[in-house]
Amino acid sequence: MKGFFTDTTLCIGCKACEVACKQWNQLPEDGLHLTGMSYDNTGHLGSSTWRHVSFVERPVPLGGTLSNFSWLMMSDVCKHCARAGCLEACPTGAIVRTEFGSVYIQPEICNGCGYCVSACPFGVVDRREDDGRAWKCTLCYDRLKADMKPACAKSCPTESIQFGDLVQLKVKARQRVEELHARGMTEAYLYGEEQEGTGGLNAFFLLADKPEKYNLPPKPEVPTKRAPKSWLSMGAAIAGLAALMLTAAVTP
Amino acid sequence: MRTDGRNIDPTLGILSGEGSHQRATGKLEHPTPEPQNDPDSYYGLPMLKAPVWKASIPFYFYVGGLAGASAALSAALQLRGSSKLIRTGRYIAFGGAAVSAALLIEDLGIKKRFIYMMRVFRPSSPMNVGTWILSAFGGAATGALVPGIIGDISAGLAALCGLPLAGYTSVLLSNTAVPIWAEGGTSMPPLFVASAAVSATSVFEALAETKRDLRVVRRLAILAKLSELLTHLTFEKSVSRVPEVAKPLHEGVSGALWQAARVGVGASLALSLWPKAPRAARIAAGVLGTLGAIATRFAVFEAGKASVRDPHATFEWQRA
Repeated sequence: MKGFFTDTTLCIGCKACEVACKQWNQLPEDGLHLTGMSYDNTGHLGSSTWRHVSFVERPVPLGGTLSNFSWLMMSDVCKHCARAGCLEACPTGAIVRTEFGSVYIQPEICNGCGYCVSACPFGVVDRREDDGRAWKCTLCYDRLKADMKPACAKSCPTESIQFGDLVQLKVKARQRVEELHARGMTEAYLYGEEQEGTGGLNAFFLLADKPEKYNLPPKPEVPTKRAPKSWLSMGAAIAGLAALMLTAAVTP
Repeated sequence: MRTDGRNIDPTLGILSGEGSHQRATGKLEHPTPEPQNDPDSYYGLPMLKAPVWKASIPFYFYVGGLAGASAALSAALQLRGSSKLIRTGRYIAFGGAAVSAALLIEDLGIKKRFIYMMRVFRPSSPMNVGTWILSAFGGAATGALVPGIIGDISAGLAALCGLPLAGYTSVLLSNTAVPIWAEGGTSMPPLFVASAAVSATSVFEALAETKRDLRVVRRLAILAKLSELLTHLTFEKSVSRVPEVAKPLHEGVSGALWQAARVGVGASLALSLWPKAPRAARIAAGVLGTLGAIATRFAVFEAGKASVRDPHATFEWQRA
């Protein structure tokens, strides 16, 4: 099981990951426009944007620092959830789990129904309108097959994006949190290394503020968890309708 | 010079990357919305992706519901003996199934791959289960047009498939990350089933000719409309657990549709309760009921889209 540990306290916002991802995967551009959101001119993950660096400027210090201002920068990516909403919702079987534990959309199968777009609790998957299909990060499946790191992790100059075996990454991540706490950055915590609603994220993060600040959901849950209750409710409703129709039909 | 936004010279580089199959026309992806000064979110940007479905999807919810409930109603009437409405119901079921399939294919990103929906059987995907239900229903509804015993057996099967067809779309919607749909996971199915019953009884009510038919159809129409009004309230109440989630039912396009649905079904109910109503009034009741049922489906659909635009709906819902 492979995955990412993204330590946001090491991110310097250089966007090398965004560029490396675009180049390696030969993805089309997003256009040149300024959003006005700090240095974030990418905005969000999308069908042709599989890494996105978010920038938060806060008028409050980071624990253990003296400045009264702080930057939060985070390279966002598909989380490759242990229980993936997109995968469980996909009606065609186009979305599969690979031997590396990643979630992969097979472009030759996807028929562009758009269900995964709404089923993703992180707003990662998107359908490209001119292409018609859903796309997202593949965890560089082609590179993993050739025993290489994903392009983003390879290009990251500060090792904010670390790729590797999930068990080892988690050990490393917990050590890092302890280290930061000892240094006075007590707000540091891990996001998604364990997560009830999704069974844990194969791409998890070390954050220094609440998830909402980074546009991450505070308590994501795979939608399929609620489906049995919905099916039961539907069963009861149609049984009621059938009973009503039968009663009406037999009464003179 | 390539126009696909890749900036790769084809004489120097080959396209073989994992994103190289993306058919890009140079048209850019959805632009980033205007940033807001909102320190409790990421510049007020939506956290989730908006549903990509077009109006053909909520319209399918109506047509599929109408077809399914009509098949069931037609089969119920058959238990009473002969009636012109039995055939009418079978035609609606057959036509509805065909239109449903067309509406669903119309919304696909790659239309000619519609059959991939049936590559697998996937209980975890309500959309996949729904495709099988619709296919079975379509087959049975076609068979129901054959005269004699084959038609009668097929009509029975169509009724059995028609009921889940009328309801599964609510499970499909609630099996998403969209706050208002997900929160309405148990209250939306009764709403959709009641709305399907209103759809079918509205049409039957307008078309009924004999007194005998009219008696039973009117009774059912009244019960269906009462149920729809009731389930409107229970749905609204259930999603109001988190006020941010219920917001789209009170404002914007979805709020207006939600109100319109109630007015339509309420007015239709009033006309149905008129004991010796003339034919024109029955037709008016049918039209109003139909419009109300359509408005219900579009209101829920639009509410989902609105609920995704507001990041706080998701945040508050998950924190609640």
